[in-house]
Amino acid sequence: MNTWFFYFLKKSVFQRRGRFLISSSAVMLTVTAVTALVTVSSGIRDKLGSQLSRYGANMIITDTRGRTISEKTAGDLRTLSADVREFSCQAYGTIRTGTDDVEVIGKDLGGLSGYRIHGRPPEAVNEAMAGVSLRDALGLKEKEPFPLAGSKEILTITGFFERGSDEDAALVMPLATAQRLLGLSGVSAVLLNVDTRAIGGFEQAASARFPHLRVKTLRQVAAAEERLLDKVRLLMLLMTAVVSFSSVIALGSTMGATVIERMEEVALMRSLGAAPGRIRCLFLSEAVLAGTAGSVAGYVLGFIAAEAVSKTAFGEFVSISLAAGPLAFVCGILIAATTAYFPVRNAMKLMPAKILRGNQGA
Amino acid sequence: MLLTLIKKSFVNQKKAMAVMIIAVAVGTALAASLLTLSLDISAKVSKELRSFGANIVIRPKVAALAGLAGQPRYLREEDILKSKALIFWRHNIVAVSPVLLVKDPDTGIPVLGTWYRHSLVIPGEQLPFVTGFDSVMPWWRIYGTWPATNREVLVGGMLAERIGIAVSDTVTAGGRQFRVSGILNTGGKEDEMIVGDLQTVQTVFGLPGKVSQVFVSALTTPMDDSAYKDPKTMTQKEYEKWYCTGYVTSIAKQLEEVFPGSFASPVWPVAETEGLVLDRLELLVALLTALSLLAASLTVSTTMIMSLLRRTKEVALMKAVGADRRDTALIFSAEAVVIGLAGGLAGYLLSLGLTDYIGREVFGAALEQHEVLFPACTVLAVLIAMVGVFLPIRKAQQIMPAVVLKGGE
Repeated sequence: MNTWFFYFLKKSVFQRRGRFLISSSAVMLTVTAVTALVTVSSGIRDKLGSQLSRYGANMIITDTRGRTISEKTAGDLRTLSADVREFSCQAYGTIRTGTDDVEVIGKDLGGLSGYRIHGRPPEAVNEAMAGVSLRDALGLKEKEPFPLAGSKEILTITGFFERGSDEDAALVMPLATAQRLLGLSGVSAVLLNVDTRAIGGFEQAASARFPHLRVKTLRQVAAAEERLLDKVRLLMLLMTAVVSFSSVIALGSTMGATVIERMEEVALMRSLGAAPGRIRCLFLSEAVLAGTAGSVAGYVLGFIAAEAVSKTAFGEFVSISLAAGPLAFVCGILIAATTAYFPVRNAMKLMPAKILRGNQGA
Repeated sequence: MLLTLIKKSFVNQKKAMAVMIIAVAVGTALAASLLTLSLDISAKVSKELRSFGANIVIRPKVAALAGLAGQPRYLREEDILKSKALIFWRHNIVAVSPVLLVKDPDTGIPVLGTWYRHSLVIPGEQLPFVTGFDSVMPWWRIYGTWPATNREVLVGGMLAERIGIAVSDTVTAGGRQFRVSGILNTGGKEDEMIVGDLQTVQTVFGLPGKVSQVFVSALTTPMDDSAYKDPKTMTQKEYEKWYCTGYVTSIAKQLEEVFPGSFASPVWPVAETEGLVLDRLELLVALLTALSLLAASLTVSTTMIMSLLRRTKEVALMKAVGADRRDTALIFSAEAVVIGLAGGLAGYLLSLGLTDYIGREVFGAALEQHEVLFPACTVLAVLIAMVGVFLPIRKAQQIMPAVVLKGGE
């Protein structure tokens, strides 16, 4: 490597700015698409998983002895694992109206999902909402007190809900209200949504730490979550593969065309006495340079694109995939170099005189 | 003269043309595949989400002021057929599972009657509709076999453990003896019940043709604000639009109409999650498709530009021989059209294979093909080829033949 080399390299890049830009743009586009896809793919499990966790709990913990779980134990369960995505407590029991026993469910009413509510959900401590079946059976009216028997409590019905389950025949109220009405000091059940990959481990840890608790996985939810996440991941993987493959091919033909275009230059250099090795080196260096510039720009753009996609689709940003950066970088350079290599080698095989005379591609 | 030049340019540039056609074909394959995927992803994921369980439940209407401890109410088993034969959205009904829940007066154990791979013959359809809890609740597991005769039942896992029952033992229900053909594991309250075929339970407890609830698994359109409106407050036009869109609420309403004395509700936890997930995924795939398409078409364009920029000498010669601006434009455009058509066709065919593979690998079913994509993608390919040719054409038209032929640029 002497000054001649760097002089040529510099001239190559600056005088043929257009060509250089096109090559590095092609690399950039490929790297952008692949980086964006890989980044989104790596984050999709988390994003989609947290969407699914809004479905509700996939694990339910109760006391085998039929007692309540203390607030302290509930808190311990929550912090038992970092994979706990959703956590809530519920209290169950029955209360009497004039002639019937009515089921009561006390729960955390912040962020209520899976209910269609007519009226408004209960907020204050003496409010409750009734399921539509209960409403029809007892002829309940909104904003009127619930006909409690044998209690001085006044419970105001704030609205009615539809859930599509047996809960429609129950009264739903804030956890504290239920605890007071039913005379409970703790909670009847702890509901969790745990990352499906960590469910087995959590079950073991919880059972080991609290042997008197029954830890049950709600297979309806867990199995379905897992299936869906698997399919989506596979889909993303295939999409990434398809896009990468086609981008590489398109990129390859661009780079190839770049070199073919300059066969005359190669011929000229050879007839002037340049060693084949040097010439190869020059072209490869140019390709690597274009590849580097394109890769860096592509990675940045790809990352921005991934964040834009993630924010639009999921309302959250996706974390940087540390693997994507170096991977994209190396790939960009490798592809640029590889696709430049073969045309150069072919060009070298030809007789300079032939090329210079104008029998191109002979 | 012009035609000769066009023909010659193809013949002489075989290799280069092949490269460009490949690039366009690959780009078109990608575009067609991604577009097919975006269009079908909603339907595929919708089907996948059915494994979350029933999204509609039909229950007997609660008689006003009847109190909770009133007479048990039932629906008619014969009305179930109408959900697949009559309603507007019958093709969206994927699976149906009726249940009859009775409490055994002697033992106090709840007994559940339901369908498992039950064949429903639908008038006008060649194949029977096979449905049951295996379709609606795929997480229910049988260890053993489903009752083959009306002298067999399943026992829920927790119940079996509690009373010490295993497969092949005998259990009593409704005053009769049954052989336990299997243990049922659901992870829900059915684990505490004795479960048998619907007909068996109906006969044993003297409730022929009756069911307590019907669970329905339907393909629905994600809800939007208009769908949440109370139908009673809608205008005629709004009502028609709502009724004819496959919202979970409108399908539920139509099911309610064919079951006398019923009220049908969406199972809101399932329905809500479904809508949310579908919306998100659709958007995600659309965005990624747009991104990939943009990148791919730009890359293909650069390929074209690169391939053609090097032919300035050729253009100079053409001009020296007498071709004018219009001719050079025509020659290059003709090339672009041929490349676009050839590449577009090849790409579309490639995409058919690709979407087939992706569909089968991920969803176990081929993606729905949209024939309109063929002309659409071919036109796109030609357009991209033309874009890729535009720059060189501009440059070509500016060339001074003498300068180039002498070796300048």
